[in-house]
Amino acid sequence: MADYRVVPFSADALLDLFAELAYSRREDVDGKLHSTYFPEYFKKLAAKTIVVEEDYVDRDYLEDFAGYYVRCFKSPKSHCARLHFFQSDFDEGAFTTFLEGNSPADFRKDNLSDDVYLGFIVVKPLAQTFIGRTCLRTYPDGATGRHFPSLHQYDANLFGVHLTVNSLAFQEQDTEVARCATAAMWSVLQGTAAAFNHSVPTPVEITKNALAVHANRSRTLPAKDGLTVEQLADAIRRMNLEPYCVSAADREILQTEAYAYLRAGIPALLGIALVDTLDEQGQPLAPAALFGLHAVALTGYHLSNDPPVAYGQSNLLLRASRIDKFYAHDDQIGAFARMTLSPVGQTMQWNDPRYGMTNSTFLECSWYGRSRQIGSVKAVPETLLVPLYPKMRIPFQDALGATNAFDSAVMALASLGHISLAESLEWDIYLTTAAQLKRDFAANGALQGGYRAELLTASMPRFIWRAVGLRGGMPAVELLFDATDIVQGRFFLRAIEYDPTLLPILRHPDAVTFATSLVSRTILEWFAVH
Amino acid sequence: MRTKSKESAVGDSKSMPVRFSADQVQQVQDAIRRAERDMTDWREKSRVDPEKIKQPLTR
Repeated sequence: MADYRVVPFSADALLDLFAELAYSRREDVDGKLHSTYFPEYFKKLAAKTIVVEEDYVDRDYLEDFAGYYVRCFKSPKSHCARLHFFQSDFDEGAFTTFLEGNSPADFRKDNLSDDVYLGFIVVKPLAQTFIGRTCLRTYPDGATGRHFPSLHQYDANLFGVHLTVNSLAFQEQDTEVARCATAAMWSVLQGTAAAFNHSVPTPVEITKNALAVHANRSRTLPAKDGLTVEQLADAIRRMNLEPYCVSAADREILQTEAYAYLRAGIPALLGIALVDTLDEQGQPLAPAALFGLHAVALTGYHLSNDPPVAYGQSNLLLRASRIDKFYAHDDQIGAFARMTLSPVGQTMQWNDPRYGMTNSTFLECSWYGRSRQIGSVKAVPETLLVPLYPKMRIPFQDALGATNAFDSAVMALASLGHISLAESLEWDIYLTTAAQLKRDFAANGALQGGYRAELLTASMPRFIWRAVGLRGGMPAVELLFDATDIVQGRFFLRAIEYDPTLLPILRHPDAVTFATSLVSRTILEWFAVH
Repeated sequence: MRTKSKESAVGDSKSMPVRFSADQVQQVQDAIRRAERDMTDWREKSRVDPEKIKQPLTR
């Protein structure tokens, strides 16, 4: 009979279990940032009970074991343990009675249902790096401003009890077959697997795929040399996906590009420079210094209630500019770890050994450096890498450019008195699918009658860039772009007008003369004939 | 069933000007060109540093 235990949740109980099940020592466990992060996370989720599944076969670890650890003279165990977390309060006796079929009828509903299930952590039998596949419920989202669009359902079978949790899987690097970049990419591919319907490679497969083209100077495994963004792009190509890569150093670009894909459920890998700001005595380092290069998987974001920040000379208002926090799977911290963006206009000066003194936008995070004070290391965003389905040919920037041109024309016409618009539109631009778009239309009470029917029955491409112009938080007009079009094509699909009195001027026979480029002409021509 | 929808989507056009003046066309075009310059700037700032993507992420 498989062994199990039921343990009341406490920070100590959790860390003791980590030490015991990973064949580690408690002092080694205590030295990890996970040991601060996870107890705190579960406290906030009001965890009461841990069920320990002492013998658990984890596919990802088993592949790593077969591909690497099995040939060790003293190999670790091939099986793991799994910890299940519940908000309900029950003991081992009650759980045993349930397994024996002698519980009251409502025991399962009260104690072992999805309503009280917080998810699981697989504990690998590796003393230093034991956090395996971890699927946890997030903090409440929606009205709180937190958004986790990349979540999907994970199933867990606990001795015949089917449990589900909406999450995105996390695990820490084991430093042997996987480094931080592997762990981050593994989490990103969990999201794209749901979005694009592909299988998820194991960490060892990601590392080997990444090094298949641009190998490191040293050996592939152990993966001591880490992976570069270039190698991660190779790993994406080996999955028959396309890597989309942009510099994330600029605040607006990080917010807007990450949001555009995250909103569609596609997580992004963020390459960051960790910068230490305090010395061993806790005094400010002058200047702050590079602590290392790292990768995290962006899994969610928080939208503040502050007004959007106008971009550039065109003063484009983007909803994504309200993002003040990202949530990331940081394999050295934990799942859905908060990363707070530095305030608008605030940068950090630091000494980058690669480029000299630098002023950078930064993210507050839970890393520590020389001082061992949590938060003393800041994350400077460098590169954003997104795996995309190959036929998504039109990048975000093209949809943004077209929207900006349209918005500029509208606002200029408003200033000339031809459009009644008291304040600028706020644009919510993101990737979506035809199926999701039509679900949204069907649920939108503002669309009625023949117009609604026309939208629901229109033939549309699988992937669509959606730019919704908001007035007072409500949609006024939206532009749809075919994300699968060829780059030289006229990728504008159509507009949707929620307020038919807003833009009749665009149907003026001469409105097309405003166009300065193919993309602005395409949009204005559409209005001329519809 | 496909339904004609122009009436519901398009508002009253009685207040439309007969013609846009050259100055009005210029103002709108200038606004669009500002947006296009912003996007040129965006593309430049978002270009990946070829050296950075070759540096190993080791933390």
